[in-house]
This record gives sequence, C-alpha cells and structure tokens, in this order.
Amino acid sequence: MKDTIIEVRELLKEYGGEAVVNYISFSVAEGEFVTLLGPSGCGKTTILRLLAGFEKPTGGDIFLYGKKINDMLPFERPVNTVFQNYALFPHLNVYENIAFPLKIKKLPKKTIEEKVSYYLEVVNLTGFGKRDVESLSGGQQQRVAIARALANEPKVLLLDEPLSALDLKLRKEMQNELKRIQQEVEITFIYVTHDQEEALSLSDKVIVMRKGEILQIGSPIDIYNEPINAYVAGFIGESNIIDGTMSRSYEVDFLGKAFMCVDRKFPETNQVKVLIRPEDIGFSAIEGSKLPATIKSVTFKGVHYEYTAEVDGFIFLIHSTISKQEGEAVGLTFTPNDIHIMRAEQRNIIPALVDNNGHVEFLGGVFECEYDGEGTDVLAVIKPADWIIYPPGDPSAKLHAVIQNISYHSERYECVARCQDSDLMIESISPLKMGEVLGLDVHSDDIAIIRDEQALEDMDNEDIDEEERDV
Amino acid sequence: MKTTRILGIPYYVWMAIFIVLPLVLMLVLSLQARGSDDWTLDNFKNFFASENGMYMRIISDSTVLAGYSTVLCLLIGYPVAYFVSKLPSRQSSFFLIMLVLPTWLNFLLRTYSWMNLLGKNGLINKFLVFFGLKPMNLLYNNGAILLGMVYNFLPFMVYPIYSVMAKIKPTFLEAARDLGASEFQAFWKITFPLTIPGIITGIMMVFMPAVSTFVIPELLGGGQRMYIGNLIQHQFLQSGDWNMGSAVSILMMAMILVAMFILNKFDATGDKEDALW
Repeated sequence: MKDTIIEVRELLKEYGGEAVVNYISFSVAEGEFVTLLGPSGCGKTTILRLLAGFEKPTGGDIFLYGKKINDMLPFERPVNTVFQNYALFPHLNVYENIAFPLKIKKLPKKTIEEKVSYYLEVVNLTGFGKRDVESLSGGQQQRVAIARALANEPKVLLLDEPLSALDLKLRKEMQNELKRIQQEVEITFIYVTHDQEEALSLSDKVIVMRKGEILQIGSPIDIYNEPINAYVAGFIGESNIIDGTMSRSYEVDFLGKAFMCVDRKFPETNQVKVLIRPEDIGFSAIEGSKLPATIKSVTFKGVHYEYTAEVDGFIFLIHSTISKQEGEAVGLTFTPNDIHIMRAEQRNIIPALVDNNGHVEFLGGVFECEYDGEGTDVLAVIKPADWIIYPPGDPSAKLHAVIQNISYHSERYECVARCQDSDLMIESISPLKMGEVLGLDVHSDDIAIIRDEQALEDMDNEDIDEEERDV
Repeated sequence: MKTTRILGIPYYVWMAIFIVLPLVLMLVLSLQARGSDDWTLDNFKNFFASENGMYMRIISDSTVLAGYSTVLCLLIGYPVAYFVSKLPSRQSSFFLIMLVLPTWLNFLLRTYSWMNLLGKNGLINKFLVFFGLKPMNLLYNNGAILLGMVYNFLPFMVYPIYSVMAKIKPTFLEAARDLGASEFQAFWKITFPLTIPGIITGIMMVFMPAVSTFVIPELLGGGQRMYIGNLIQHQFLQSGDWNMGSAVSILMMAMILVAMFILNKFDATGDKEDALW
C-alpha cells in the first residue's frame, strides 16, 4: 500500500447558499492516477479548484501528507493545474512558457535550460522551443501546458478536462500520451472528465460524482462491473437495467424467471436492480436459452451490430458480432457472472396531505414544503440519508420512531424504524441502538412531493435524461 | 464582389476630394515659394535654418509638451484601465461611460469652461478669496495647458488599454499564480506585456492630437508660446503664407509617421490584430 498524499475530509463548497460540493471525502495515494468522473455541474471542477487553492472551502479539510492545507495559497501548494483551455501565455514562446515557473524560482540559467529541454522531451516536443504557442495545434498546446505544469515539479498534477477541446483521434492519442507521461514522471495525477471511456482507460481509481456528491469510488473494473446503482451503471457505459427481487443469496428473479447469480442478498431489502451489459448477452437457440426474445431493430456499428430485442415488454440492448434479422425470434444467453446486482435506490414513500400554504402533513407531523400541483392527497418522498436525527425527547423533533433493526455499511448505519404504522428507512453516520427512540425532522428541500407512484417513475427518468443532456 | 465595389465608391470619391487632393495641394504648395510657380526647397530650408532656430524650438517645445501629456495620460490612465477591467461588467460599463461623458460636449466648450474655472476671477480663485487666501495665477501657463491636454485626451489612453486588458483571460493569471508567481510577478510578467499593444495604441491616440493641437495652448496658455499647431494656423490665417504653412504641415506629418514607426517596433511581440496598424 502506497502512502496517502491527499486526503479530503467532509469537503463542502457553497455558492450563494447552494452546495456545489456536498460533504465529500476521499483519499489519493502517491503516484496514483485518480479520475473525478461526472456530468457537467456535478462539482468535479470545483473540487479541483479547491485542491489547487483557487477556491476556499466552505467547510471540511484538505490534507497533503497529513498536513492541513486549507489556507495555503495556490503558489505555496506543491500542486499544479493543467487548465481546460491550456492558459498558455500568448506573449511567450514554447520555451519561455515552460521556463516560466523556473524563472520565477530564479533558478540558474543552465538549470532552466536543462529542465525545459527535459520536459520538452517528456511531452515529445523536442525542437519546438522557439515556436509561437499560438501557431501550435491543439494537441501540441496541450503538451506545452502539461510540460509547463510538470516543470514546476509538483507532487500532484491536476488536469481539468484537458482533452475536451481536441478532436476524437487526437484525444485517443493524447490519452496514451498522458498515461505514458504519468508513468515516466511518477507524479500523482488527479484528472477531471465527463468522458467515461477516458476515465476507465486512464485511471487507477475512478470517483463517480453526481450533483456534488460521490456515488462510487473504485477501480475502473469495479466501477464497470459492479456499479453501485443504476445511475453509475448508466453513466459508465451502455446497460440494461431491470427491476428484480432477491429473496435469497445467489438467486435473483426478473422478467418472471429465476436466475443464478454471484451476489449475496442485501439484508434490508428484497428489491434490487439487475444490470446486464449489452456485450455480455449472447444469442442461442430458443430452447435452452435464458430468455426468448424478438429482435426489434438492427444497427450496424462497424465492429459489431447493435440490436434491441424485446422480452415481455422489456427492451434489451445487445451488442453482438453475429448477424440477425429484424423480427427474428432468438434466445438470449448470459452467465451468472454477467448478472450484476445493485441496490435499488432506497426511499421512503409516505402518504401525505398537502395544503396550499406550503405545509405537508404525514405521520402526525406537519412540515414545510414546496408544492404547486393539484390535489391534497399526495406522496412525500424522502431519502434515508436526509432525515435529521434528534435524541429522544428533543422538542425540535416532529416525528418519533422506534428502531426495529440496524445494519452497518462502511461508515454509515442503516436502520428501519417504526413510526405509527409505517416503517421508515433511516441512514445515519453516528451509531444507532436497537429499540432506541429517535426524534426526526426533515428539511423542506429534502421532501419531494409527488402525486402518485407513476409520477415517481417519471421523476427518476427525467433526472437521468436531464443529466445526460448536460453532457 | 461587384456590388461591394459599388458600395465603396462614395468613400473613394470622398477620400479623393477631401484627403488626397488637399494632401497633393499641400505638397505642391510646400515645394513652391510664395507667389511663384517655380519648384524650390526654400520653405524647408527656411524652416531648418530659421533665425535663432525659432522653428526648431517650436518643434521641440511641441514634442516635449505632447510627450508630457502622453506620459501623464499613461500614468493616470493605466491604473484606471486596470481598476475598471477588474470590476464586474455592469460597473465597468458605468465607469467607461462616465469617462467619455464629457467628450459628448464640444471640445471648445469644455476648454472655455476650464478658462472660467482657472481664470483670475474664476471659480477656483473666488473660492480661495472667500476663504481669505490670495488668488493664484492658474491660467495662461504651462500647467494649465498640460491640464487641458490630459483632461481632453485621457479617454483616448484609457479606452485602448482597457479593451486589451479586459480580453486577458483570468486563467492566465491563475496559471501564473499556480506556477509560483506572486501577485506582482503575475502582473509584471503576464498582464503588463499583454497590454503593451493597448499602451502603444493609447500613446498614438494621445500623442498625435497633442502634438498638433493649437486650441488648448491658445486658450489655456494665452498664446504666449507657439507650438506647431499654432505655427501652422499662424502661417495660414495671419501671415497668409500658405506655402510655408504647407511645408510645416508636411514636416509635422512626417514627424508623426516616424514616431508611429518607432512605436510599432516596440510592439513586435504584441498581437498584431489589436494594434492600430
């Protein structure tokens, strides 16, 4: 295990009261290539700017080699940034750009020359020193920006979507270059991108983000094969996500059949999401196949065909090199290893009464909320982590619930607590006790009011659509 | 292509009648002696060999005065441009409008107002007297001329510098800071070099009118000293020596061209598209 170089603890950044980075914690090991992956507006660039020191955190801490650096100015941090638009100084040539940090440090002229020519060599631009930066191609400018940041010999290099301005072919080329450069100089890279392919092919560790929060941290293979939820699965690649139930370990029911799988049952729920990647589905004869299906459409993609196939109203996406006709009846096959089980997103859905004055009543408590739809009989949707927990008897509590069962998942406690006749799912970072009475409240922003279950489904789809559009 | 050419005709005609023709006439006049049709260089000879170097003194006085005005405009204008460029856009446009607002009023009127302010019985002196102080000689000296010049030409310095400065991407400065530069180093090594084209344009825009102005020295300086502008005006309107006047005008134009040429040499590193030419 390598030493931790950067540790971020409960980092919070707010702009005008809105959290752009919402209590985020992660650590980076020395020499690691870490990617922050997420759609635009998820807060990944803000994290980079916080690490570089261009922004001050609203809360939380950043540690470098165990030393808190919250208040350090950008130039005091052994951290350098490669900017999205390169930010090469237009009045200086390639050599002078790379020499900039060295001249600031007032190194002897000979040392500067040696270093500049070394880093020009690292980025494959030997002989370009005298060139005007504006005469260079996008890829070359990118290389100069990297060389300039490396010349300062930082401990950590931050890269903010460095390849986003390049065309596809150059981007592939630069991906390989980046990986090679990182291995050559052995510096920790923290890389920001919204391109999942880039993230998967470059990184040692990927941090998937959404709306200022971390969804999953893991190796590219883990993230691809074992995404934590449907959102990560959808973001990280094309996928088929099916509602399923799991009443025991190693067996999952979906589309009316039981299938063997390699995952254990979640202790708290039977409801799961099943992920099968399009390339993991194969064709076979209908007899003896896992699912009988009908081909709905065929698109030739060069390396493979992309099919959609229907099974009982569910449309599968399939990538295969085998040629099939539209309308053909086929059998689908996949192995237990190809079935990935994800926790369905947990939510409390509570019947409630809403009035027009911004109040909602459920389980005997009255809460403030925003709702401009019709009707008074509604459902209140609250995430388990959004409850505010008070000690028993605290007068601020609006509801009281008795803990029925508790499970511990890395760094958080999940419990089911009974309030009147309903079971509430509650998540807490501080320990909980069986049989304990919890006082509960919830912030008005964290209550989503919907009309019926159908509206809930629409809301989920909209959520994903919206973020895909951002990208 | 053809229609575009047709659209250009009014300008060509305008240019021919009001720019090219007068220039040719002036050149012809400058090469003839007064009241004669023979070609001669006497006007220029007289200029350079005038008794006790009068004309040369006028040239150097004019250059020095224009130089002072330009330097003052730069010293005042650069910080103003820097300050305004750092403001949020709504505030910066307010400041820029405030800066040009006086220029909406006629140049002569503004200069006459300064006479009223600075004069013996002007507003400032009345004020001094009211507080029991002695009135001062504010008008008809070099200080008044300089004040009038800076007051009138400052916007021409601020504008070009501001427009170049506003285009500098904030990431350049962030990058400089990130790479170890202090705030001053970031300014000196990034902002300043990138604003040189603006400074050069500003210098040209101030120096040129400053070197040839005759209204300001006439009104605020009381015409005690003669500058090139006054000299040309004098030759044409008082002495009626159009030939000598033309020769001086041609020399002044040559001077300005040389000055611009030299300035452009300093702009070798700058962005060519932003420069005046």
